[in-house]
Amino acid sequence: MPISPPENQASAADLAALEELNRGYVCAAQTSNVAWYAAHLDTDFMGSNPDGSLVNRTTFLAQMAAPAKASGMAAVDVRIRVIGDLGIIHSGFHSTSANGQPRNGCYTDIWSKASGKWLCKAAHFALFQDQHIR
Amino acid sequence: MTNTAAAATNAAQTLAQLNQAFIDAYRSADVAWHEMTNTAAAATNAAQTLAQLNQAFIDAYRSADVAWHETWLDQDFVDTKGDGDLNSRAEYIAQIANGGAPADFEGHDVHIRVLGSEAIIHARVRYTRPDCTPGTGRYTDVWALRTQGWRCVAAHATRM
Repeated sequence: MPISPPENQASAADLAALEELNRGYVCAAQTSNVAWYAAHLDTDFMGSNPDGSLVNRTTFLAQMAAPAKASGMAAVDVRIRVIGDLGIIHSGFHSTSANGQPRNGCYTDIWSKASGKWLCKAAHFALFQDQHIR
Repeated sequence: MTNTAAAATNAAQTLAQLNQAFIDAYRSADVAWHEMTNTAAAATNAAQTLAQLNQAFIDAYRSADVAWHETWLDQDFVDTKGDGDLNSRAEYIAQIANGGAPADFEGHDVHIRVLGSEAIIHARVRYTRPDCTPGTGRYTDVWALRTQGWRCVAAHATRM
């Protein structure tokens, strides 16, 4: 069924749930918490990496199992929208690399709600040396 | 407007095939067809439509076609810029009007997922840099089925 704009009457409960899931996503990246991702990534999850590769859920889980090279990971300027059954999270990202240098980026995560549960369908992550192309 | 015409032609062809299949299924009392075809055909049609829209998006970017963007970007459209800032629909269209698409810009490895009334498109791009070396990138677009048809609600593109 078509969805009516604007940004679709997102409920406070959905926004709160997505905000919490966003925090969990970043925390799981910092702590290499693969179990968290296994519980919250949908079976058809696709991840777009900063190097341009597109990986499926299995490969992404293997990536996240590796110890994080950066510290102080944090989402910044988070914007959450709900459109139909999708939740779209636009966010900046800050961390500190192993050599102490700031490492900034941004991401767009796409969540889908089914049977009352939000699962992540896609994540597009970029670092700021990447430039705008479109 | 060529892409719009092509989309209409493809849609007409698909509907003609479905119409004949409907008649055949009615004649043969094919209950399974009646129960399953609508959902499968809708998903297939949506994927075909989105593939055409995806190519049209690239064409419109290359040609700085503001009218195309005015039509197909949702009122709630949000673009993630390379520096992490977000562009509103108006800001993005103003940027498009200024042109500046890289030379030889084209999409490939397009992966479309239809999730009911929403869809996610993953794709790679290639282009030629000002110094004539090849450039690559990737984008993720999100589309939503509004009452007037599919509209792009989010775009995040980065170059490698």
